[in-house]
Amino acid sequence: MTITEEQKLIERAKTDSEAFGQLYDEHYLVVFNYVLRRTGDAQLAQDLTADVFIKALTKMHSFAWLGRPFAAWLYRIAGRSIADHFRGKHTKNISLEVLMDELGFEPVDETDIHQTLVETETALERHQQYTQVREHLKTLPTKYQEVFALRYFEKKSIAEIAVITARREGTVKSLLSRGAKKIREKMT
Amino acid sequence: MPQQLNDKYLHDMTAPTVRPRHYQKQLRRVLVAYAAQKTAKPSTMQGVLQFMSKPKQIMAGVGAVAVLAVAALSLTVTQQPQSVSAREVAQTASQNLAQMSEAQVAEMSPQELKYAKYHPLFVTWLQQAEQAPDLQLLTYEGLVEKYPHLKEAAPTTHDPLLVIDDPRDGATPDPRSLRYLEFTGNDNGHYKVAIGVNDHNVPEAALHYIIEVGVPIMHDQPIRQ
Repeated sequence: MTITEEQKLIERAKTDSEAFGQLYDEHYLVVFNYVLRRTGDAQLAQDLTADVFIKALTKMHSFAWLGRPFAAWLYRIAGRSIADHFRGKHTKNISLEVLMDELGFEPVDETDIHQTLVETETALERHQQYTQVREHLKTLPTKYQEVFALRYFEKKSIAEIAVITARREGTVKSLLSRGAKKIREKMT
Repeated sequence: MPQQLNDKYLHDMTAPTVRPRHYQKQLRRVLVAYAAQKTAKPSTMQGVLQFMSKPKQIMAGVGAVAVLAVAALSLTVTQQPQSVSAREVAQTASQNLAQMSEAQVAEMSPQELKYAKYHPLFVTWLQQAEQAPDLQLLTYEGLVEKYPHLKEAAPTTHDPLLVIDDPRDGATPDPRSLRYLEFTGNDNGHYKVAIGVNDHNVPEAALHYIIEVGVPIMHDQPIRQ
């Protein structure tokens, strides 16, 4: 999708639910995998990703196009949601299993949701290098986690990270350098 | 553990990529439904109202009453300023009942009449709760008496709050197992719902609950006699 097409879709999404659905389709996997890589927890990634899109939906009416990709906004919301979660500010949730069993909530199809979670957990386990780095990264302040994850997990450029995090490129480079040094110290 | 954590090592490192297709589809369905409710246009509601004014045999049961009330209420809300208090919504629902013709009211069952005075989205929820005897519904006063720590979530009776208490084995549920969430309803009112279950957590399921089951907003009123 070009920037112009995205801009038009965003404007439509403010009043058209299906247009929002298209934005969701375009960005869901990016957000989910970013949250998964930051947290290393499949269920938490599902919850926080839903949280991100709910927040995006409720704030769509006030979204102002500034020429930056929509994904940058979603990354920022995701970063805040992750930070809030680990600060203990997350909302409490209810159990899907209870809704299914007792209140007749029916999922889209009969696929076992747990199977999806198991597959996700398996994928996490296969990437051991990433897992080691992530565990140490989680002990660092949020500002390091964000830029580090965007650079090395999401493969974003310095310029893209600067847009997403609303920081100067020099600051991003500095955080990356200091973050890598801190992780290096923890791993030796 | 790597000998040296350098830039090349970090760039070569691969992080997992997953495609949770089923969860993705499920959440999409819920979000689009919620977005549709938030962005319903007056012209759309006019069309719904016209459809709903046709003989009731088109739709069976209380669903028709609830949808009629929702349509009327939504049309009213879109003509008002965006922030509508919970109490105003409830009052509008009651007025909707008052504006129904005698013939329409006469066709309503006692149960429909009982629920019609509540927020129309609440009607469906109440009906489901009635069929689930394990669920106890508490007023605000009953709630904070039972779970004093929830006063933090709703310090005064002006904060709308409903607890669905789920004592599975008949014992008093552990208040630590109560969960709550906050959301903005489709009338832009701010609501809090506390739901007494344990286990883990799918917020989109809660969103389904809000959209398809109902928005609990009544405070200072007994929900169940």
